[in-house]
This record gives sequence, C-alpha cells and structure tokens, in this order.
Amino acid sequence: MTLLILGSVILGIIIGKLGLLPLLDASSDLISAIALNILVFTVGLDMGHNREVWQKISRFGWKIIFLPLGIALGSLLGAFCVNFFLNLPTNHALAVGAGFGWYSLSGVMLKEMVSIELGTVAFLANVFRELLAVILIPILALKLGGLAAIAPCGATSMDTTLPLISRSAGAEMALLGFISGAVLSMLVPMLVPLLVNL
Amino acid sequence: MWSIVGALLLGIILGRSGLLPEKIFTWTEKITVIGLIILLFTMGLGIGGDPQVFNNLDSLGLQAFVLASGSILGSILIAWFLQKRYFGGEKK
Repeated sequence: MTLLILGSVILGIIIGKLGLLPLLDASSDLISAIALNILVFTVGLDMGHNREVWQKISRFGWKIIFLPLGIALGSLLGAFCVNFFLNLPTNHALAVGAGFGWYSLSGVMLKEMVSIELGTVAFLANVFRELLAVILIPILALKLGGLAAIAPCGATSMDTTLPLISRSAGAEMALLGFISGAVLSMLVPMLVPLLVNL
Repeated sequence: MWSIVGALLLGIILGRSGLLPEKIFTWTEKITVIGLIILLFTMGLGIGGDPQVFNNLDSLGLQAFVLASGSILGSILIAWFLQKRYFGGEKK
C-alpha cells in the first residue's frame, strides 16, 4: 500500500513535470473533487461499519479514550507551537497537525480544500511523522514507556506501526495502540476540514 | 468543505444503520484505494506541473518536517503525562 501511494504521487509528478497530460490537468480539478467526496464517503462507511473498535473500547473501559484524545491535543499544540518559527496561517498549521500521520488522506483533503502547496506540506509532514515514529518507537518504549511509544504513531498505530509497537512494548500496548490509532483515524476526516476553516 | 463533512457523516450513518447489504463492505476498501490513487496521482500532477511548487519542494519539505516534529513532541509529552498520572506510571 505504501509503495502504491508513493508510486502514484511520483508518477503524477513525473507526468506533470513533463507536461504530458495538459488536458487531464485542466479537468483534474473536477475529477479530484468528486473522487474526494466518494473517498471520504467510503471511509465513513467503513468507520460506521466497524463495530470491533467500539467493543474493544468498552471492554477496556472508557478511560482509554483519553489516550487518543491526548495524542490529538498534543499533536495540535505541538504544530501550533512550532508554527512560531514557520509563520504559516494558524489554521493551516493545525490542519497539517491533524493529519496524525495519515498522509494520503490529509494530503489530498488539504490539496482540494486549500492549495496544492498545503496539500504537499500535509502529505510530507505526515510521511515524516510515520518515518520518525518508526525510529522513535523502540527508544520511547524503553525510556518513557508504552504510551509514549504509541504517541508519535498517531493514526498509524492501528496498522503500519502496530507490529513495531507490539514488538517493542508488548501485546497489551499493541491493543491500546490499535484502539488509539482507530479513534485518531476517525478524527482525521472530521478535524482536518473543521480546523482549516477556523 | 461542508460537502466533505456531509459525505463523511452520511457514510458513518449508512455504515452503522445496517441497511446496507454486507456485500457492499467488501467493495468499500477497493473504492477507497482507487479513489486515493486518483487523488494522489492528481496531487503529483499538481506538484510536477506547477514550478512554484516543484522548485520549492525543499522549503515545503522543511516546513513539513518542522510541523511533524512539533506534533510528535507534543503528543509524546501528553501521552507521557497520561501514563504517569492515570495509567499507574507503569513502564513496559
């Protein structure tokens, strides 16, 4: 999946750079606007359909919900703080932070809703988030404990970084990571449009 | 932007309602992947076709790296705090 995602972007960049598809370029705005709505609709369908997550949460006790909410809050506060160096519009910085590592979705949403520049920043920022998470998980699990190791993963702790959490922090943390990632994944398509329109 | 929020909410409600046949959910994943590929490809087209973006990939990348680092640091601090305060401070 990761290869497919990066491959699509890189192929697009090459074709766009060579100017091979001028016609498609002109009509791509409408196509991608429609594709985004369909994509978000099917993401919603899966979210509504996925009862497993809610069952796991109620089994663990509702205290567990503080973990993804804390990770979400920390991500947004962190993006807000470092933006003093960047001077982007605050809503843009917050919306990028609200990608929580789900680079494909946050990138295309912000490209459609704001600009190709912000979409690119969101895509790259959340790619970096996943890469840095992979590096940090074993270190954090050792030094600060399991919850701190789950934090940098954001939404990815339900799929791509889950095996690493499991290996570095144990099976119980893997379950917490799955729940946290699932809740954060649900927040991404809600928070990104809301924050960018602040 | 409201059409996106609307599409999401409609999806959640329909997915939860149980009105749709199970068969549909074997399709949603494929549709999601195809939609993503189209969108990522057009994002690539936009990046490659716009010299303003393509020639600034290094500075956009730096902004991205700074935002990613900030988000990661903020989330680690809060998770660490939660661990000490509410989850018994256990180290695993």
